[in-house]
Amino acid sequence: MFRFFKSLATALTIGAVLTATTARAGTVENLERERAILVETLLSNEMTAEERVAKIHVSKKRLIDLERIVLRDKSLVGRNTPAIKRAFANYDLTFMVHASVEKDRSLADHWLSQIGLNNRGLLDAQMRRR
Amino acid sequence: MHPRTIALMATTSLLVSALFTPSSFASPTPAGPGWSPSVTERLVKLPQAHLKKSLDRDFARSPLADAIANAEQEIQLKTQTLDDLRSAADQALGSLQTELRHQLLAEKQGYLKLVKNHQDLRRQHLQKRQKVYGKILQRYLRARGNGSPEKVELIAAQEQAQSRFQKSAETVNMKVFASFDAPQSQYAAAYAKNLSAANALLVAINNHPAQKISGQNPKNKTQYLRQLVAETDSGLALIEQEGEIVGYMAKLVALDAAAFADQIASGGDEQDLTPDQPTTVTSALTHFIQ
Repeated sequence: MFRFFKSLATALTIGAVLTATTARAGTVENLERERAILVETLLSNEMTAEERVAKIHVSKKRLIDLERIVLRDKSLVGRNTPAIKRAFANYDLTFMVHASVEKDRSLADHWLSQIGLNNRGLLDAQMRRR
Repeated sequence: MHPRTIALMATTSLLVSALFTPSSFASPTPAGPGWSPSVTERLVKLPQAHLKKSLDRDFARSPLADAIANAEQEIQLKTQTLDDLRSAADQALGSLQTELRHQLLAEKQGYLKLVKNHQDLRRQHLQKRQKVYGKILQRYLRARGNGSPEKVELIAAQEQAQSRFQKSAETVNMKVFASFDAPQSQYAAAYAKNLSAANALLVAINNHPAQKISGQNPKNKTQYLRQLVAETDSGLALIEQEGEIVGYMAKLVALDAAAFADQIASGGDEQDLTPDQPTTVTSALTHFIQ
């Protein structure tokens, strides 16, 4: 009986360790998809300002959750895949909503500055034929 | 000179040279009682509190553990024999005393052989244990991604992201949910609820009596494994030091035998052997120090 309880305790301990490290696929991919939709919304010419604001509002809410899911996903720790490596290489671009709020900037401003475009640069730009 | 004394001197000298040569500290021959622990996935994944215990249990079931226990018993018996012979030699007179002293020297030689065998077995055990801990540490580090520089870099980036998120999470909550007219998402609400449940469980885990045992060890498993490797290292160093002590003991037995032979040749009675004490290498010192 004692041995049974002992082996049961060991099995449960191992079980606890194994369940803690169960991999959950696709959290980064989901975030990337939603982020792409947001960027598309930011750049789109085919909607009014109100429509854009409403769409960004929805995307922002969804992105907050997705960013947190990725940041809390322990199965991603040390998983050396191109997508995960790229995701964690630039926090400001991947976790856009958190970073923009942290820096107290609008989402569009934050994204543009991260890809190397700022207000001054855009205002100084001239339209030319290439 | 007594022919048996000459034989005793010769074998003792051989024992001295065997004990002092570096080969005596090399790993023992593979033949004989063994222990072959295997580094399984289960062992690598075991929590640190159970890792050493599991290995200890495996060792206790091995023929090597039996051999070490037997050797310890034999040493204890031999120490008792040395005690008895010494007191008998002290009380005896004439040729009986010479005979008993001769036997005492022979028993000392036997004792040294037993101690050397015991040390070889202990060394074999510690070397295997060290190898196992080293392998577990390697596999654990590899599993954690400490294998390649790229993985190390990724883990560092992930830790950095995690700490940045922890620092800003509260601010983000305040700003975002204050400006949004909608309440928190379903995920956020469920996460907060689960988090409080998880925290309560964590408190229960930390307060569990079984956890108190592991609390004495370092929290980090890598550190704990390194500590185990260092402990076996110090165990091996101590065995080497004990080996030197046994070597000195053998030298003293050889000198005793030489003095004894001189004494018999001159017909005098100047040499006598010293008081007694039981078990372990250092506790048997009094049998050897004149």
